[in-house]
Amino acid sequence: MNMLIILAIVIPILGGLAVWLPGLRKHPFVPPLISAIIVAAAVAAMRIGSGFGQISTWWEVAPGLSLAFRVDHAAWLFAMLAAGLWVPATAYANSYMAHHPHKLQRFFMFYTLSLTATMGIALSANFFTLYLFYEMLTFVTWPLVIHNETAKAKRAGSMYLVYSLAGAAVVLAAMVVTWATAGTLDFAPGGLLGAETSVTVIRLLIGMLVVGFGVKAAVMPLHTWLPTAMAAPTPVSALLHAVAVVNAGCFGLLRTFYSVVGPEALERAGFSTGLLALASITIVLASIIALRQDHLKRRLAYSTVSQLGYITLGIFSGHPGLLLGSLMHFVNHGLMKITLFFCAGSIITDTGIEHISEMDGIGRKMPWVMGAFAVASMGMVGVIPINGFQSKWFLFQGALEAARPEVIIVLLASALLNAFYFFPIVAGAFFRGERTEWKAEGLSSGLIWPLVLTAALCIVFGLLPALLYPYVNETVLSLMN
Amino acid sequence: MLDNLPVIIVVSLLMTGFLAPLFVGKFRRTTQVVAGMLTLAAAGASAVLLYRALNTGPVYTALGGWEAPWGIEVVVTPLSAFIMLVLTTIVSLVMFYMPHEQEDWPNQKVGWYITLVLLLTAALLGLTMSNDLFNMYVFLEVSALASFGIVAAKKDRNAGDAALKYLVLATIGSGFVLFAIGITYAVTGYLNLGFASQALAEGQFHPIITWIIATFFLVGFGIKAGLFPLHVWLPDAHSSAPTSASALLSGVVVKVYAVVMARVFFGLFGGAGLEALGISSLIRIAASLSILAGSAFALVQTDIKRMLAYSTVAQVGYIFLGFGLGGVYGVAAALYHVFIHGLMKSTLFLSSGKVVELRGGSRDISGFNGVGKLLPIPMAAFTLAALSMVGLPILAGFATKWYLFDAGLSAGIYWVPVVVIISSLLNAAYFLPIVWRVWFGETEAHEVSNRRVPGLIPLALILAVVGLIPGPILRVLEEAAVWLIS
Repeated sequence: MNMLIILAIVIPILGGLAVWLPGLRKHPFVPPLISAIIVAAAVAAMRIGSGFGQISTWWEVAPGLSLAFRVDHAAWLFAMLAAGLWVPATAYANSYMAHHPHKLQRFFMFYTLSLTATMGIALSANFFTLYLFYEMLTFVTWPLVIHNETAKAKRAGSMYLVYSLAGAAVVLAAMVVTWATAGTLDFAPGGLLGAETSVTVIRLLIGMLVVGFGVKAAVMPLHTWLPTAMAAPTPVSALLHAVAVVNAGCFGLLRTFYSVVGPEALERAGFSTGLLALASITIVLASIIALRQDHLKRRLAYSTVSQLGYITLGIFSGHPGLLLGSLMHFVNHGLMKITLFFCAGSIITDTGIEHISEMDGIGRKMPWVMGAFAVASMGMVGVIPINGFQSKWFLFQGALEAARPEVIIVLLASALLNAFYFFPIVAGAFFRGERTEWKAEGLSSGLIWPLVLTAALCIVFGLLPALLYPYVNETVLSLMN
Repeated sequence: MLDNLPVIIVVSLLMTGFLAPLFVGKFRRTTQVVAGMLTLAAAGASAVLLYRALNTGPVYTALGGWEAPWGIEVVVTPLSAFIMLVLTTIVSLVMFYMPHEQEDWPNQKVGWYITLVLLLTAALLGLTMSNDLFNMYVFLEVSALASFGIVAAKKDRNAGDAALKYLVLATIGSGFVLFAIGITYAVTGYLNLGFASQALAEGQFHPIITWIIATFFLVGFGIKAGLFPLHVWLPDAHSSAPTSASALLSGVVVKVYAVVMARVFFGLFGGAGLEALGISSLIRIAASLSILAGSAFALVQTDIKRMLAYSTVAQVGYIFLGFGLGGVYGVAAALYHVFIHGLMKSTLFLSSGKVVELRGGSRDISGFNGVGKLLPIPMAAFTLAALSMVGLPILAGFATKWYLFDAGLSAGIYWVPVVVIISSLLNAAYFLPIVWRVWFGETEAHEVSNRRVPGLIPLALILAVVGLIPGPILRVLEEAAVWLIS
């Protein structure tokens, strides 16, 4: 097990540095692709191998602070999702960047280092390790956000950096509070705070965690960096929005809420209604804003903000049913959103179109791309048999079990809004006549197969709930202890 | 032999210092190397003393056989041995850098410069190990004059002005210290720290007297160490000095004053006494202001050396904050920061000195654009030190933050973590843009004839290793802290 963890953490660092090898000047994507494949294989093997739940400590960084990793249910879920999607994402990035050649070595170095940071977050066994990699993730994704080096990209980068560093600082403060109250930082099911911890401290800690990780999980009103970060190249957006960054925020919340604060203390704090309201506002408001966006990537960005609300809603609730739905959505949303961003990237590369109003009739020019887009959009709305339906189904069930009818109303409203902002794109692309002249030179296969693959996965996961549901159920049980 | 080792170190540095100008004319290179080797030997001797002090207790020497309280007493506790080791290590590494800087200096200047650096080192070592207040004052003055000399070594108008400003303020600082020593002597009749402290405790003096002694020491040492708002001389002096002098002044000199102040305070009043006098909280407030204001000023600088100098004001604040919090963790954080800040700041000054040299003497931050490609190794060291200043985990700076958190929370002073976190955000705000410029900025192709920066690689390596495994050092420092507090 230790060996596999070392592979998952160290290989991407080596792969990232290897792009500077003189022989690879023309093909800087080779080491990143190889490392993504190795990491995906290593993470997959963690499920088979023994030693699930064992802590492997690397070394003590300072007294009381050690670098330690552990694979448990939640960790494996996130690690597998990220590592699995990293492979098509790297392949896609290669084809995409071939059309936008600019500092490719630098791009692929940080692209691959982000994988280390993500794996570190997923596999961390204590708060310190989580914090370390959470901080690292900011530093390795920032160069990707400002990759184009336009004034707009630099502004977006500064904003991203300010939000993320401030968030990480709050996480550090939460870590200090944890250390001062619990005397340990090692994650444990059921939480670290004893029954004697005062409610004030618990509330303070929860507040810090919501702010600290909420920045990356784009909880409103901390979401503004995310739409702005659209200035990044599209594969980076896919990575930020679907795989690494926002999910790292959600995972950080999940980890700290259930393995640091603990379900009992969560209940004692009496914050759940307020936090659910926060998530609900995020869901509805972001959807409404998304309706008004004409820029495709920005609409997708607000859709992400809204969908992340589903995930944080389940985490905030502390209720097993809602948590189950939210973790299903954690995976399903990743699959759907990466597909949508791949589509947006392919459209931009081939036709240069970035706005929805210019996309009429585009479906006939690029049937595969818009077909995948249609599949993922239907999933977002929750149409059977795409995987998005299942997340919603379990969230509905959870809301009923938790006796929270207001959540059901929010979910229904959101589904409706999703239909309003996704279906016109699909309908226009396929059924309306071409209004704009564009040059479509045809796409290279590297810009098509990754998105077809992820769209197919959306359908497969939708048709076969048994692929995901039992595992997620186990995860929830282990988290709720 | 071992009992006399502390004295031998100081005396041999002083003597060699004065010999340097005699030999530098004919044997320039040899003189430079001998001076460097001598400080390295002093580092070795300090290591021996540290080992000895940790295992068998402090090393006492009574000068000339006159026992305290009549004679001058020299005491090497684990604390002073550690500071001596840090001081001599960094000085010797900077010494190995100096020949590189002095290539086009006339012989005479090289000789006197070596004299001054050795004099400064000897004075600071003496200051650290002395247990006698008046002896401390003498070394304080010697070190101030030597610092003045190395600031003024660069013959331009700015350096002259800055050196003069430094001299005036340092003299005022010494005046405050002398006044405090005078009152202590007047009311207790002793100059020896131990005896004076005993007399103060037994003497039932009016609290205003002890308070005056403490505040005069605080102002005096505060000026010398650049504590906000007494720091005004520091940015000018540290930025206009030659690179090696900046590295020494910012890297070690100001911190030694902070440590000596802590020794005097804990020695005279004890931790509880300081807290009762309100001096501890005064130090904490001044330190926090130092941290915040120093970083804020650094943020708006466009001159790299001034920025680094303001950053020193902030970092000295960390050290004062640790002493102000007291307790094992607070003091250990302060001592650890003395060490790593010495490494970080010397690394930063030496590597940016190279950039300034490359840009023909321009100290503007824009000169850093794209230098990563021209000077990969110095700039890797720069990046390491800069990120460590921000206090990212697994780099050296993080452990200080963590210990300060611990000290703050266990003392019940909850704003300490807030100040420290805000400060690291400010550090990020001024160091990250430079790191970005270094690696991803655009620059015209530039031929670099000499990429070497001697002494830099050992500094950066020690820094990297300490960041990864600070545990052993922190444990030694916790022991040293116990010696200071009790």
